[in-house]
Formats: sequence, C-alpha cells, structure tokens
Amino acid sequence: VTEILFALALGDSLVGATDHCDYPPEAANIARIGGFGAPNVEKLLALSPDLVIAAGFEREEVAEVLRRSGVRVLDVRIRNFEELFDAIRQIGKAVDRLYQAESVVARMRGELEAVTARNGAIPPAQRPKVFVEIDSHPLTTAGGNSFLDDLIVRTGGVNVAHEISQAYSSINPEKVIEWNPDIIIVAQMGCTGDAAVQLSRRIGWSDISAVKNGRVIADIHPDLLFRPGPRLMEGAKALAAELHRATKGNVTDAARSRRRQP
Amino acid sequence: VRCGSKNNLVLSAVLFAWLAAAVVLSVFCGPARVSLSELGQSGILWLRVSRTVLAIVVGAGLSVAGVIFQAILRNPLAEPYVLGVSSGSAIGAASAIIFGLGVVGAWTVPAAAFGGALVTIIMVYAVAREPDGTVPVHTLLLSGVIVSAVLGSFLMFVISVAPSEGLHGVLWWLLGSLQVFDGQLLLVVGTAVVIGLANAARLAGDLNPLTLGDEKASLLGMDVERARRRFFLLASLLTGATVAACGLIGFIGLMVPHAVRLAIGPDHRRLVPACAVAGAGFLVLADCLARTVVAPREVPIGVITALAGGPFFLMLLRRRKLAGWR
Repeated sequence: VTEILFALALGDSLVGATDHCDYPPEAANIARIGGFGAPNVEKLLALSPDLVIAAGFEREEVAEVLRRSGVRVLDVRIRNFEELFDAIRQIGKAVDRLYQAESVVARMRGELEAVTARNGAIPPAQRPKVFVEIDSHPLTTAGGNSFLDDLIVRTGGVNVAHEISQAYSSINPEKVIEWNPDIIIVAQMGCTGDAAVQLSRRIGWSDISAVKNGRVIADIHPDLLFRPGPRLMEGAKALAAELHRATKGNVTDAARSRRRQP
Repeated sequence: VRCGSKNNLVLSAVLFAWLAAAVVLSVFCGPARVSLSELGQSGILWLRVSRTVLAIVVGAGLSVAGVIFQAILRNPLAEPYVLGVSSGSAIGAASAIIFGLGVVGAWTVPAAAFGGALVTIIMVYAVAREPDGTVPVHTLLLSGVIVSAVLGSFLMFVISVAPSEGLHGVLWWLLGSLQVFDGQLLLVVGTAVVIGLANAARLAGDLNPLTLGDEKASLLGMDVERARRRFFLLASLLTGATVAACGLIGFIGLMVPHAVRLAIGPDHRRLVPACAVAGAGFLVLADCLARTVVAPREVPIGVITALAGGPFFLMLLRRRKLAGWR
C-alpha cells in the first residue's frame, strides 16, 4: 500500500508505515507503526492520521478502535489483479487522487495486457509447467487462489499447484516430482547461492525437468512477485521473459528429439 | 522376571511384522499416483524410502529417549522434551533462521538446533547439580521444566520481534515434519541415533535398578550418579539428533513407552528394544497419514501422533492401570 501511495505521488503525506514497507527508498524515513496486519494502535493514534489504509487486519477490532477515535479506515483485500486495480482506485478515491489512480491503473493494465497478449494465447499444451517454491522447510507453494497463480497464467505458464485452493500451502515433495515442472521459481526470502545446485542435491529431484535443464529461476526478487503494488508489473515482465525463454528452449528440445528419431 | 526365549521370539515377530507392514504401506502410499513398475524408476521411490528411514530412526530414537527419561526421572509424565531440549533446539534453529545463517548452507539450521539442545541440557544439568556432585532427580526435573519454560518464553519473544519472513521456518521447528531433502543429513542423524540406540540396548538392564530409587539401586551395588549421567547423555543425544532432522514431534516419546510397558511389562531389557521397533512403526504409520489425509498438502506430523495415538493410549489406560507405575 505504501508503494501505491508513492505511485500516486502521496509519499509526503504518509505519517506512518508498517515495519515491512521498505520501498521506495524514501519510505525508510517514515515512522514505523508495527507489523503487517497487526499495527501498534497507540503508535498509530499518536501520529494522528486522517486516514489509515490497511491490507487486511489480523483483528477486525483494530479497525473499530481506529474508527471510534475518529480516523477514517480503508481496508483493502488484494488477491488478484482485478482486486489490485480496484484497491488502487479505492485508495485514489479516499485520498482525492482518483485521476492519478486511474492513470496508474491504466498504465499497469496496459503493461499487463501487453504481457498477456504476447503470452496469454499460447495453447495449454505448449505452456511450460511452473512450480513455485516459497519455502523449503516445509516445502511451500502458491496454490490456485494466489496472486502468483494469476501471474503465471497471464504470463503464459501453468501453475502445477493450481488445483490446491489455498493461496499458500505446504506440499509433499514427491508431488513435485510427479508434476515434473518445466520451470521452478524459487521465491524464498534470503535465498542465495546456487538454487539449481541445491535443488538437484535433493533426494529424487535431479530427474525433474526444470532441474535437469537448468530452468531453476531464483533471481526474480520475491517482492516483485508477492507485493501487490505497481512493481508487480516488473515481476510479471521478468517472469514472462523467463517463461518465454523456457518455451523456446522446449521447442528446441522437442525439435532435437524429433531429429534424433530415425 | 519372566523372560522366556519363546516369549521373546513371539514378541520380536509381532513387533517386526508391525514395522514391516508400516514400511510397506509407507513406500506404496503417497499423493503421487505411480504404478508399481514406474515407481522403481522415478525419484519418488527414493524420496519415500528416505522419508520412511527418517521416520524409523526418529520414531525409535524418541521412543527410547522417552523410556530412558521416564526411568531415570522416575516419572510417568517424563518424555524426551521434558528437560528443555525442545525449547533449546527451537531457539538454536530460530536464531539460525532469523540471523540468516540458513544461507550459509543447508547444514546450519540442523546444527544450530542440535547445538541449542546440547547447551540447554548442559545448563539444566549444571543447575540441578549439588556441590557434592550428586544430581537429585526432583531437582533435575524441576530445573528442566523451569529452563524449558524460560527458554520457551524467550523463543516467543524472538518470534514476536522477528521479521515475518523468518517466522515460517521457526514454526516448522515447533510443528515438526519428516520431509527430507538431504541424504547426508539423514546419514549423520541416522548414525547418531543408531549409536545411541545400540548403547541404550546394551545398558538397558541398568535402568531397572534406577527405577527402584537411588537407595535401593546403590544397595544393589550400582553407581547411581554415574549410571544416571550416562543415561541422561544418551537420551539427550537421541533427542537432539532427532530434533536436528525433523523439529519437534510430540507425544510419541510419552505414549510409546507406556503402551509397550502395558503390553510386555516393565523389564527394561525387553522394553528398550521393543519400544524402538514399536515407536519406529508408529511414526512410519503416522507419517503415512500426515501426507495422505489432505494430499498433496501435508499435516504437521505432531498433530497426527497426538490425534491417532491419544485415543489408542486412553483405551489402553482404561483397560489396565499404568503397569510399572503402580
């Protein structure tokens, strides 16, 4: 939400942000009011804001307390692109920047449609199968109701975990072997080192197509994929580029194997 | 002591049949539907086998650690985590995760968990030790429970101030999981547990006098302090090694010893090996459930051990009073 407000050129009106709001760099100077979804209400009120914009409170009571103290509260839930665009418009309306909000949405929608147009028409059979690893202990992935699922579909891939309805869900590693994804996206916080090598050392994982063909992607910053804000478009573009490259690779692979056949 | 060789033979046959059935089920069930012929070729077989091996190792280790703690502390409520191993290892793992040591290598988090467990155990022992070198059972138990509570609160403090990205990993330690990725880790933990189990089986006879009380045990010619220290170390090693591999798995170390004791009596020479095999089979089965009930998602294994084991244990309890504890 902080990023959306900065995109609306309202960074200067921000009096508080959560501990996790670290982008753009200017946001570092804003007072901190506690965790995401669980703000410190005392600190929040001490900043005497006119409006509090939240992306889901852990406890509904917080919104009630704020309202009773005469603070306007806008709570936006963002689970897919439509909800994101809607949230940006709602925020724009609440801060009297509806026009700017519409232009941000229009720009994002334009970029998104450009990505979708290029990759959305790929027939299902030719789409690369994508597995997203959010955490390794326990193995966690993004299911059908997650933003990432939407992102993968729009960038021309198939999320292998689509059938799981939870947005974030633990997953049995043998299921990943069965799915045999063409691409694995490692979107774990603080994951460095050679992800591909680490994955290939896992028991039974060396036969997965993505691991065998070196299609383990760990260099897209998780914030670009998970944080519902304007930067998501960067993530979408990076993801599309990777999936697209993979698709071409598959074609070559297929061509090569065809040639090998007598 | 009725310890007929025929009796033992029947017992081993039953126990190994139980374990074998569990292993077969474990290798052939899972969320991925694979035909028998394909199973051998895919990596899935290896994954299931290593997971089953880990369940055997951990199930046996925790059950035997439970028997030992119940005997040396002379307390039916004792279990592997009673002396603070749980919170100690969780703090070790949590600091490794939160300070980002996990980046250094896949080994750092298990190693930190094991280190945390060892430091805690030494601390508990040092607190309970009297100036004359003796370690009274009740002081040891109290010291363990208090250290555990203090460390547990400290853990909650660390979690509450930590950036949320680290939280997930820490919670995993508290819930436990038999997911195994690293064959080397499995080998190291397996070796440690097997060494621990072999020693426990070798020394099991010494546990019998210890349950009678210090006075009677020393009347029987036993160096009580030395024996207790040895068992204390052994059980801690077993617990620490299992925690390093799969986090905290509750209930099994409490329940399996009692269930087996009800079935075969309180002689530790039979109890220790029987618990190892029975516990291994139980955990293998529990893990089967953990990965199939909501497949392809997984349920924390501790949930299954308590849910599946609890009612069974209560049923045993209804049928007979806790044997060996009067």
